[in-house]
Amino acid sequence: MDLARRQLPRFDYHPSLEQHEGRVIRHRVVIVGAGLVGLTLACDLACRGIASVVLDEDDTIGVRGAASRGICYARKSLQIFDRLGIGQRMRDKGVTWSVGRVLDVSGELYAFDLAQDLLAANPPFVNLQQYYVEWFLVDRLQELGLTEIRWKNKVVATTLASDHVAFQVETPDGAYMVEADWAIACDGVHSPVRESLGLDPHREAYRDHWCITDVAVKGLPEGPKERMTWVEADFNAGKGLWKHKMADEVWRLDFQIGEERDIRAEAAPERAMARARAVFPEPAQIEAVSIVPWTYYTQVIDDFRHGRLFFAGDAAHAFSSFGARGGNSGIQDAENLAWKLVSVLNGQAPDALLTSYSQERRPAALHNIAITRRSSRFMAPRSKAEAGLRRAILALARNYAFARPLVNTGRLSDPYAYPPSDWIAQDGRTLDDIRLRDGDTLLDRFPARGSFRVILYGAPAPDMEARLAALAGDDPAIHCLILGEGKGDLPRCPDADGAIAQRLGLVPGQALLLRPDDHICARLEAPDDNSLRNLRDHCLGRR
Amino acid sequence: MPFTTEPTLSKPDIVHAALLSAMENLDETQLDLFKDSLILLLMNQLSDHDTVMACIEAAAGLAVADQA
Repeated sequence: MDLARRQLPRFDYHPSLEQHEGRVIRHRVVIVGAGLVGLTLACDLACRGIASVVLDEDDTIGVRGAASRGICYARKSLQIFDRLGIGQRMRDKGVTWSVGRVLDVSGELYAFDLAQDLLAANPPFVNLQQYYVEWFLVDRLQELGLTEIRWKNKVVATTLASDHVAFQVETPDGAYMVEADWAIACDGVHSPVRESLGLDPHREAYRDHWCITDVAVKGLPEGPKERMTWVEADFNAGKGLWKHKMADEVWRLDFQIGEERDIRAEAAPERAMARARAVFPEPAQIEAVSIVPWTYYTQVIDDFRHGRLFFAGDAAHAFSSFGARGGNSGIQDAENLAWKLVSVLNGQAPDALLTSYSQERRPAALHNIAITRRSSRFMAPRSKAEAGLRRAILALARNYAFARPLVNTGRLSDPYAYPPSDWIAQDGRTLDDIRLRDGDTLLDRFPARGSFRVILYGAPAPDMEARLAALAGDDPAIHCLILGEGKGDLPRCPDADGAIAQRLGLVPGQALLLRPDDHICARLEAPDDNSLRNLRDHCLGRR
Repeated sequence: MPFTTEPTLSKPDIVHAALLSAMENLDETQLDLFKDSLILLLMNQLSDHDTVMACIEAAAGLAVADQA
């Protein structure tokens, strides 16, 4: 079995133009970190025609060889990756799941199925090793041809100036300086950029240790693709366990070690594999892919924007992994920032729009921290009384449905709804793409994803329809789509039984305005072209 | 149902006796499980979020006041 010796691609270091010519070059956008978030951001910019330079200290994707970090990509992330052009590759390679089972020492307490939603274009979750996503993004960036990834380029110093950001970079050929009109630190939870600037991430440490044990398994009967969560597992000393299937017949087992047991001893390969063996008994063949002990903590910086420098993903915020909120929220950070930065670079919006990035994504991070904190406390009760309450919840959940919502092994990642603000007129939720009968999706019906778009329920009068169609020629464009039949200047999407309109919360005559990141920023009655222009301008901060 | 501290039980002596008899002969672990389960079952009967929160607040206030 060669799964355990998986080789990740290595990328060659090339000296940069700066090094060749011995001068400092000012780039429009420099991204620090070619991880999940940095690559997503670079790809989003490239899809919108903006070149960037990505600096990465390593020469490969992933961390610690074949160790995967994030494994679980939520519907919103899949929708983003559809727009960036790697969604299908992810679904093809990954494991789509919707059934989850919750167990304790007595066996199964209950099961749930998230796939009841027949209208949804994307499954609730796809499990895939993070390095595959990064790999697909690197491929896609090469295809788009606008991004220069500089491998083995380590940022060692950061200077914030009023009109640019400068980085000192170390390479195998020595150090050089690079400048950027705009820079984004996507350099992970220990963010060297953040630390070099002395920004305090307000860390709150926990003592609940876990041991990730990714194992390659052969000889299993073909079984359903389900996620299993033990609140208490008898083969793990009564502690918790997560069991997820990823690509290549590799399983993520995440064993809760707790406070009392010695994490270093428990993470020794023979101890970890003995626990894995209890999960996959003979005759299954198991082999370790990676064993990583970890202890979670939460942190968030005060402002995700510092002049011309932004922080995204783990560099800006970290929380415990319950609910797969880390990677998924970082992907949303990237999407939120990308369209705003492009709007400013293209002269379509003032600088103020970029301030809304922190105003929207920091509350999203605080929301995730609050939610994951409750899950951590359920999984690691802090007192005899808390443990007793959990015992009662589990005992009731086994027999009665009412207690199941009280079992909190993690609330699965859902996109944050931005409250009404200077940037959002109404609603603020993300619109989940809808699967149409012909196999297309609702958002496919627009000529462009990632733009301002309007969905109208029912056609307006022909002269107004012509004026709405003309919005496609605006800068930036607004593309309109009519839910309904007939012919006219605007594209149609049939909705004979009104199911799509109902899902979107529209009654005849109403419309909704989508931002480039698929968040709904306005709902309106009988829109005309001027009101839509005004709302778009409001959303861009043109005031 | 809205939070109330006025009497609403029709047979207070009967439910009190039933509580005592349910707790009789339980060891400490069983007793905790009984009390915690009862709280959760009752909360679900109330269902109204504000009423449940008001009950928790009232009980917490009493516990702290009693200690002082």
